[in-house]
Amino acid sequence: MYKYLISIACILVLIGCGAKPNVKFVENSISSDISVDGARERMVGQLKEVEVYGENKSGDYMTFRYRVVWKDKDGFEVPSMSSKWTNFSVYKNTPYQFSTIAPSVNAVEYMVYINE
Amino acid sequence: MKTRTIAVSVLMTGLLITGCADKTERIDMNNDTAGQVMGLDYRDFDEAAGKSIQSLLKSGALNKPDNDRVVIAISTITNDTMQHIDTDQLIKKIRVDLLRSGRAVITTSIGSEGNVDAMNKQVREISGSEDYNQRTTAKKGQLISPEMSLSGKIIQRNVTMDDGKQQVEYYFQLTLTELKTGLAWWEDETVIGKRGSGKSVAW
Repeated sequence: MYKYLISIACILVLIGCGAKPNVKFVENSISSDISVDGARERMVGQLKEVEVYGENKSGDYMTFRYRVVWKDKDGFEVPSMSSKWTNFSVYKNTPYQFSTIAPSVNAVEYMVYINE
Repeated sequence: MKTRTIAVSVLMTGLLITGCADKTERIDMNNDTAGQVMGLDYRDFDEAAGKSIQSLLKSGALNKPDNDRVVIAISTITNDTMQHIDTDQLIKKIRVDLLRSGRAVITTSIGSEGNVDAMNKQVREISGSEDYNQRTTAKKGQLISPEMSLSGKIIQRNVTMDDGKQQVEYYFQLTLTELKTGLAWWEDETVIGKRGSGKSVAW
């Protein structure tokens, strides 16, 4: 019985830790203010669109910024305007989301960086 | 003796001025946290261009059934602000990212002033010239006609606040028109607002 419970707990921990491998906080301190609950993807024609979503857990209206680094199938960076910081604001105790689209048909991998 | 005293004084003053002068610094274009200006600077053009290109790619207006590239001509981009702006500061960034996207290609054979390469015409004037290998010259019927046109306007609006402060609003408006039908398939507006001292001048 214990083995099952431990296995389930391990799986839940792994799922919890591995749900958003493509989103990273630059300063870990902001993780107490906002959460990233996930990143969903879809195709717009041949381009990949990504929407990052989460929640402002703090009791304040806050402004953050994000940048997205896109890479091709070989791991080389695909240069674009989206690699520059973009501001986004979140109302207190409210969900938020922002989306970005691949700058090129060659851009298949991405990493989103969030900072204050 | 007097001449020497004057020379030493001039030298000392020069050294003092040089020593006190502010050092010139290079801007870190990737993380420029310096204060804002009431006019438009490169950060504003980056923001407007970045949002516009994202909006255009997300709209699907450039998606052709055969996944071929859309040929776009750059039409008139009007500067309706009080500042001397070369609208290429905005359009060039969009052109670069459009080309990189693999969804569009820009023609320089037709378009508004500044967006046409005169060499397209000149190279056709040498067709038939004995000086040139005729296999390498441009032939009639080789230019590709644009399918869409990108036009736009940058607008400035100044507002004086009740407390005497000045508010400046900049509107970056862009339209993508399908030339065969004249229908606007995509339109976008980015607004950037700034508020500062009433003594600030935004031109």
